[in-house]
Amino acid sequence: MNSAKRVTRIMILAVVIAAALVASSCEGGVGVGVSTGYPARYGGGTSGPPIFVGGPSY
Amino acid sequence: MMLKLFTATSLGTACVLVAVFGLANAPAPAAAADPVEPGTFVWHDLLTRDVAGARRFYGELLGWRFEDTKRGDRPYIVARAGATPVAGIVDVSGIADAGTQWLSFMAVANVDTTVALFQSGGGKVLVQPRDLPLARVAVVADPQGAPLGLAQMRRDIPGATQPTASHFFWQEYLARDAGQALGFYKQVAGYNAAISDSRLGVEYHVLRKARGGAGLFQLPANVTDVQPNWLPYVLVDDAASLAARVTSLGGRVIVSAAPERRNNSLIVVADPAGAVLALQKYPF
Repeated sequence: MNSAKRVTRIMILAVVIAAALVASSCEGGVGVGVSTGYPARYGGGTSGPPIFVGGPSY
Repeated sequence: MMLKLFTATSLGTACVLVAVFGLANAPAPAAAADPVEPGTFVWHDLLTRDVAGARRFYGELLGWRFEDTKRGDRPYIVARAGATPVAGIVDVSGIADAGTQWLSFMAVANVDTTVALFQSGGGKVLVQPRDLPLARVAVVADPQGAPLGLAQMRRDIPGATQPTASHFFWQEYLARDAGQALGFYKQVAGYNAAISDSRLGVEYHVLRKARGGAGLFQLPANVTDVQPNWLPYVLVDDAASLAARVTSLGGRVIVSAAPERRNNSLIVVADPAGAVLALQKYPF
């Protein structure tokens, strides 16, 4: 294989890799989005527990 | 020679396409190492009957921006904090029994075996396991009735390892039976639990994993209008000062800031449609 053909082959592969990486980095599939019928756990969000001890810890 | 070159190029192209698109789109077998550590909360969806109101409320309150997308033939809105996708909005107005609420998704090693664990423990399957581009997911209710999404991730998702403003950064289980919940979620996610605080007769358990984490405490016996749930937390700079903004945007402050509640760093709010989440400054 001469050098011109080798360069052509490398260029084709580079274009394919670049296109594939761009496509895979798109976030069209991010998130979930399933719906389910399940009652809310706060009775409509009118009150919450008054006690919150502790808290986040990193 | 041309045939040889074409064959070699085609094989190379095919390998690349299989490697890249295959990983991105095809259901993957169980991996030797999980892309996301089980027990990590990886996503939050708002199930609401008022999509337009949710966009207004969270956009004004937290600075989120929104992108209209589709899941199949159904609309799905992706919310971003800066450039980072942080949540989704699902319209459940067509489902009679659906309550407006935030649904949190926990990474698990295997959705199907985890769903079976919930069922054998007395929980329910709300959405059967299904494949999505990034994960195999299901929705369950645990033995105490708390809804939870399960996600067997195929690859990691972008996200900060340290708390970032306007991002979800913590998750808290409000239990009717803390002992049962601790045992169950240790089994589900392999959490290491330790009591970090004990006041007013309430023990606060930190559920530790390498990245992020969660907390758990028992609901006081006199609280009867709140059922066990996973309460999501969004990091804010000053929760107390946001309370007035919540009200002016049509939401409700259902737990206000107070010195005895984590040094004024926390408020719990309901959005205009009633979905509840916590806003907290951290460290506090």
